[in-house]
Amino acid sequence: MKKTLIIAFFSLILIVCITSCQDEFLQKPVGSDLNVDSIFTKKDKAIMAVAQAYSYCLATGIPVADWVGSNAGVNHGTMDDLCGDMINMSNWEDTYWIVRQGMAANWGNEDNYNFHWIAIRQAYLVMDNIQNVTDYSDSTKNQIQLEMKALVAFQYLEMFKRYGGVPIIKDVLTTNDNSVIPRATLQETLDFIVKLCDDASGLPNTYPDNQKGRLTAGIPLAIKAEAYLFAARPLFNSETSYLSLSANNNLICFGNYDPARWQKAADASKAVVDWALANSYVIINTGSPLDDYGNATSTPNNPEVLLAYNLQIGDRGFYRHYNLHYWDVNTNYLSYEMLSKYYKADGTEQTWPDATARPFSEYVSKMQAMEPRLKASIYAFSIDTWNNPNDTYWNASTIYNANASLSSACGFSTKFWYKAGTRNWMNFPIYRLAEFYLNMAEAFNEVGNSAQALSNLNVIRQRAGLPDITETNPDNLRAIIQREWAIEFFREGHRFHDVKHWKLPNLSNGIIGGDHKYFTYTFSNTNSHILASDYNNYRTIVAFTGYWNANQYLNPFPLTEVNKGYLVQNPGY
Amino acid sequence: MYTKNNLISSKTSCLKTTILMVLLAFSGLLNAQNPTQKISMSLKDATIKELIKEIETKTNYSVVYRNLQISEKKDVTINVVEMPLMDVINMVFDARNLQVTFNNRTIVISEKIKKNIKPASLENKSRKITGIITDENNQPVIGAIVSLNGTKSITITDVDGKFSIELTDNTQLKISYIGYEPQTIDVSGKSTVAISLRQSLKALDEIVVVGYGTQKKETVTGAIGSVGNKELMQASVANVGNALVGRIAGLTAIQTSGEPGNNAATLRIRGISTLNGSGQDPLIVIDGIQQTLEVMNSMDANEIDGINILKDASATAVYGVRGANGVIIVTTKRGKTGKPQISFSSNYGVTMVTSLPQTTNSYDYALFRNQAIINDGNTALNPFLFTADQLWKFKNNQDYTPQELANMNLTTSQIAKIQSQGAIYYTSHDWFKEQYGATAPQTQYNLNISGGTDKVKYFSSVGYFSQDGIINNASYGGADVNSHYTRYNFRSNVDAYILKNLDISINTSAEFSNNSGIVGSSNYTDMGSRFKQLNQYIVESPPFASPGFVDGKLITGLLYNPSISDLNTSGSSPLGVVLNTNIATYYTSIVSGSIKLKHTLDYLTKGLTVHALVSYDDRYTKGILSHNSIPGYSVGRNPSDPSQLVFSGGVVGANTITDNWGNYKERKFYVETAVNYNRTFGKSTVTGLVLANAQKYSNPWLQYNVPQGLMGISSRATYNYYERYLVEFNLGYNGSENFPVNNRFGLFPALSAGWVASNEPFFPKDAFISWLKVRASYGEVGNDQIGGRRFLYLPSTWGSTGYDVLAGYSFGSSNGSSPNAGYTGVTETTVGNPFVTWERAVKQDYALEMKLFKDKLSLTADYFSEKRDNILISLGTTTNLIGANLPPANVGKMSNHGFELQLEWRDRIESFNYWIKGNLSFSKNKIDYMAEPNNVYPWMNTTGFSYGQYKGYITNGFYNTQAEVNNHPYSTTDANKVQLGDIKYVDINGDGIIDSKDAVPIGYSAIPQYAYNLSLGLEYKGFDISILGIGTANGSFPSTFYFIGPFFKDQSTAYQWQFDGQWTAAKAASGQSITYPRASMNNIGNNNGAPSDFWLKSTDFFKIKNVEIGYTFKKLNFLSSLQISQIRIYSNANNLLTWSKDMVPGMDPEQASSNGASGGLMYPLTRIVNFGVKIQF
Repeated sequence: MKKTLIIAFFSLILIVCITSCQDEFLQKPVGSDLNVDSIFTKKDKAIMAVAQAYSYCLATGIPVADWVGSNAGVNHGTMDDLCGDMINMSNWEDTYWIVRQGMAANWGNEDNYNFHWIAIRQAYLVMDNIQNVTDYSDSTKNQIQLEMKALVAFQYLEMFKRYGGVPIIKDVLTTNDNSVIPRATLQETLDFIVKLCDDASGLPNTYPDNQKGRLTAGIPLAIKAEAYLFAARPLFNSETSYLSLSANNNLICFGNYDPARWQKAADASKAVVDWALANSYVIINTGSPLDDYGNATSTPNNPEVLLAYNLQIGDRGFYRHYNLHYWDVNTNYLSYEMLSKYYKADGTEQTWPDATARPFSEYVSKMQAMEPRLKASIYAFSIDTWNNPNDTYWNASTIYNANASLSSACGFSTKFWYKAGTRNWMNFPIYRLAEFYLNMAEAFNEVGNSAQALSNLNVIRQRAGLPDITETNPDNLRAIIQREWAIEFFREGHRFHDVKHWKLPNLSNGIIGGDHKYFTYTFSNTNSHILASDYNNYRTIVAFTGYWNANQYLNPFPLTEVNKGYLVQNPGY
Repeated sequence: MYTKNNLISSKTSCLKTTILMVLLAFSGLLNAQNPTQKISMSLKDATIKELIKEIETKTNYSVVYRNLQISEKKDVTINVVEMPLMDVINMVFDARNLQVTFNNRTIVISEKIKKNIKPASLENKSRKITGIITDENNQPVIGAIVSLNGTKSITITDVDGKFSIELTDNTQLKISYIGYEPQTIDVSGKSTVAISLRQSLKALDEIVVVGYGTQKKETVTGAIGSVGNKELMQASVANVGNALVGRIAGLTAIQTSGEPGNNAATLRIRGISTLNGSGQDPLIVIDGIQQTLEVMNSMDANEIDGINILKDASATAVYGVRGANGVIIVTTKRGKTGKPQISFSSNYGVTMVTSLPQTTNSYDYALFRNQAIINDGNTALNPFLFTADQLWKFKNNQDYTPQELANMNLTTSQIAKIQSQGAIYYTSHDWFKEQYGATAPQTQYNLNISGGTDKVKYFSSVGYFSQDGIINNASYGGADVNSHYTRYNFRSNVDAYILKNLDISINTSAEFSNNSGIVGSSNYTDMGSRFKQLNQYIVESPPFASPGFVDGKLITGLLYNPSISDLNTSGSSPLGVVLNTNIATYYTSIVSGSIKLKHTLDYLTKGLTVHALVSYDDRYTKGILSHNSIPGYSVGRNPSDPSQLVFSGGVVGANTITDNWGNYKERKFYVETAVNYNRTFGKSTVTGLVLANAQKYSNPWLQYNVPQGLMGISSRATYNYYERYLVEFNLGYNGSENFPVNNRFGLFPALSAGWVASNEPFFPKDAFISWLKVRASYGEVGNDQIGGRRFLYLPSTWGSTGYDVLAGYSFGSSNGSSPNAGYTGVTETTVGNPFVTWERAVKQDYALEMKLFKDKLSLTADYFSEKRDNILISLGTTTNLIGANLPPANVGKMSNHGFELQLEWRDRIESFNYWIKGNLSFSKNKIDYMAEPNNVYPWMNTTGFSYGQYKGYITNGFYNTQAEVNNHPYSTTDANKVQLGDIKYVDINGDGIIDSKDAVPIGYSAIPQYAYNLSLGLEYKGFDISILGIGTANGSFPSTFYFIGPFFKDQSTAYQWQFDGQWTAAKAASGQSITYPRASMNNIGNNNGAPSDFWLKSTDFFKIKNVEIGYTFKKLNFLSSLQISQIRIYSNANNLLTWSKDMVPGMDPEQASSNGASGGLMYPLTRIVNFGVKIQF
């Protein structure tokens, strides 16, 4: 009996020990970490969530992904590689493969489908929770909600042009929700974008100096204008889809051609221009084209930019893909096709050599004869950059030494760095007023109003220091406008989608598919690659043969998502 | 949330209970009585006093000795089962001329009163016979028992092995001695005999360490593998974990690197049973305390008595939520009663690389690349074509062709000088060999002392180990970029019996190591970055990248070479890169201490003990990042006199040092209390254990800065009847802080049973089966190492986006002179899963153990199967529309099954002893469920296949004719570009398109299904040899990237096997063997680079893993004058020879494919040839 008691006593001790020590040994966090309630209490914390919504939602198309595969944007390389403006010769980069093999459902894409939803969720989370912030006024809370709506609209627009109709999500999905939401039709998606933009119309027209980067009332107008423009362009505005999706054709095509869509695009763009001009935005035109175009594309917070991507962070920033002083840029070689689009300064055509070698001195003189927009955007071999005159940081010697492997190319891009000196960050223009003039030019031409088309086009031509266009034949004028798009918005991320939505006939031959060329050089023995005298001659060679197939008109949904059974894959993937 | 008071009160109550336990263990000196009984005991080389203590422990008798000097000799070896106590005592004391009297509960030992033991009736026929008994080495056997067969007449041999005994008419003498085969001889007509005993083949009764205790091997019902100190020492490797390779059935290892200090193998027990990649490691337990693999690997193998691997649920259930992946139990040596035994060993070894990738020389490289450019038809790369002159220069190691020299207006002597100098620009290098070609020393010393009295036993050991890296020229200019690993080990285990009924054991150990080596790009220290980056320079440098060293100077640039741009080299070499890399040096100290108090409660009830154990571990690592600047030169040929070499540069920059770089610390507190019961009632033996433990681990980097806790109760009950019928029940009940409060603790039961058929009375004795046991176990264990973040059950959290390319945003305006201050971003980081719990494993094991042919042959066969569920995985079926980082859920399921077969043959021919052992183990797993969306074809799913199953296209030779090319199925790999010499893929689903739908399971996974080893040992008069061979089958190794395509970035290296094996039209036409597709600048990205069975190599191999040869000097006069009892000299080698049919040169089949190794970017594995001497005093 005594033994039993003692054994029972020991057992008791064990049990007491277990229970009494549990809190000591099995701790849990003491609630000091952030959660949704602690973020949305005070404005100094809430603004961080707002900032992150901007960072995520506006990143599409900008190479912020840079080896971080789960992020937004192109994964190394820029969208200019994809449309033949720039040539990527580095086979460790995604854009290298996309141009040579096309996009595919089971690997790299031009954007990150999943990331669109991460961005949208962030915006909705802010929208849902901003009411709880105690030290924001009601009007500020309302304004932030409108900003978030516009950011969601922007994300939907980016998906609209890449995928066609996509699932419509109207709020934060929780894990318990049924997350299986099918694609909306093209029309429903467009309507959703327009509705969000209309809802966001109460945004302020201007912000204090330290908040200039936020969405103004002009941005929902701009998003709507761009959405209408893409809705009017031939890829969607058509009886038949580019490839058949049978019963689901309405996901990628409106099913009819309706000229009214062009009219809506024209009107919507005009609304943007009207709003902009009324709110101190201008097409910068002081009569000095190189400086004007340079300022408009490069200077932070210049009066031509309605919205820019302002992520100005450390040495992994996206600017490295645009700044010749960084190694990442040597994947972007100016193509022969892009160079050929530029006019000479007097508006006439330049003739460039073919496969037959020509003396290098001719390269120098022909480059010097080019229009100001080229000079504001290009570094030509051996010539100190035009857009940073008398700046040793931007002379031929510094640039070559910063990137000694620069070799075959027609030139390199210096766009966005007009008189930038050693500044190593940039604001990437998202909406620049010039875009809406070209929108109008394009749309008015399609509805047969060549006068309006020309007047808007020539605003851009005049700023560029080029003679006015007088062509009235719609087909000829369309080609001229499209060329103007290519030049004016070189490297601004438009052309890859423009050429596809225009359904250009030679997509497979020299635009996306087909041979892409650049210059190659021979050198004299002294061989510094810096002085004109180091070069002997130059000629064109084929850099690579691009891939085009009709399925590439729209992007593929990732196979992993399609396999979940809620998405109709775009045709041909 | 805690309040301060709460914290204190819970802490004190916890402490109180612990103290109470300890006090109870001290208290009480009662005595109880018990009748005479049968006793089982097993002692080897013990003293009389130890025997007495054993008797006192196992019975209620107290032993007293009267006017007697008790011998301190360690000459008592006894092994009895259920023998009457009186017989046991008589057997020992009678032979020592001692008399034993039983007096109430006291045994009195006194000098024997000489008695004539002869029966009076036989007196006349008696005579005396004398003899000597020796062992195989002609050494006298002391203490052997000599008896007249069938009588009680008995004597024992003296220190010279001599005996004398009175004979009756019985002339059959029986000689027995523990560990030796008994002999019966007929002595009729003889008066003296010399008898040589032979060592018994039957291994001594082994004690097996199990979870929280020990068991006799015969009565174990779980699946447990063991390896002893001898085998561990033979490997001569730095890591204990690596020394286990090939020693235990069911344990597989793959090595990730050969770098000193970073070469630990990844260990798996019975393959892989969970698809949770971060929860596959077995639990490591050192002397009862849970530790990390790193702590085990920093032990000195000399300290280790043995290692046991617990494999099935029966063995691991006591570890509950940590037991699912098997347990590795390390037991350190402890002292034994006797005079101090001092042992000193010294080892010196040489390490070298086992094999290196073979790159082409410059000439072959140039031919290969020209062919690639021509094959590709990519005119953009024409500038990269080598000219005929350049080819001539590479082939002849000259910078100028004779024609060029003739045109240069040089004197004959200048020309001769240039030609004799060889090339500066057109050189050819094997960078791998120049980088890793060195041999490096490895030294190890150990001094240990052990011994004890009946009051205190002790074992103390100090050890030193050092190993250097194999990088060539590593100290050029004071760079010192080689890896160094130096370790000092100290251990002291003391057992004290100074208080009645109370045993105190105190273990202290310390390991101090210095570990240095290069860091990776951006000073990253992970293994995936460090040597990967360095090797990347090697594989991305053509063989003519640099002249390397010229006149002892490191060349990093070239001067005056008009052709530099044509060769596209800057003159910098991988050698320069490594020499300029930053070095991280880590000083680590790991200190551990534990105290165990064991109180015997025989006065309450016999066989009852309680114990309490407290242990504390502390680790501190201090890091230093340094950079030693070295001189780098540019070299060139003087333009005005090319026979003159001109050097420039050589400027040495400042050295830099960053102190306290990457410091690390951690500590762990562990407490355990237990009640133990072990008692034999007649034919039944019952044991029981109830143990409560708790553990707290902390380091400053733990998420939320909350220590990791673990606590639980473990219990075990065993019952055996006459050692015939064995039953065991194990139960773990424990929890981890990772799980929600209401769902923290889990119950993990396991039941096992065994039947020793050969112990049945009806079992035929002396049959060819001498031992037969069947056993089976069934049980459930858990795995709380679910990976990823902790406290998954907490509600959704938000966090800073931190240093991220998408971090935060800047709103403000700017005039362009400076960026505006931005806002740091915050976003939802994770969503909670309130139901998170541990993985559950249900394991079964069925086994047969046999010994045959008088124990010469032993066999163990195990079959096991395991089903695991609740595996924490991300749900692949939820759509990404949610846009959140969703928590994983406990939904994954996996199964695993296999077998282990162990065979051993041990025999002797005269004094020639030998043994052969073989193990074969097999395991195959299958993913049963992982919430994966259904793919179009079942083979595209991960579900249904093994974990890590490789997938890719099936290939069918090459496109050898244009007709084949013209009719090829559409290939999505490279936009349908296919040409002659490309790899043909099979269109599995027959849709005319080669795409992801045609990627099917190919080969196996990285962990081989079969592992086997074969070892052989020979002993002859002091000589011994042992050989261990290991091999695996059904494992795969993928070749990736650099192993698929040469000329990455237009100038990366090319491998010799690529050049030799390349497809050419001529080879195809003549039917020669082709092992590589056509030369191309881009085989990585074109049609040929897709994952396919062509690039998946079989890791099947056989390797002479270890060989040891030794000679032992014993009983040499000059040695005994130095108090040396034994000297052994030996040499062993590790990773001696490898046969692998499929792996490319430079890739070791034991190497993991992770961290870039599949592209050839890993620090190569090394071979060790070691010489050693061990002296025992």
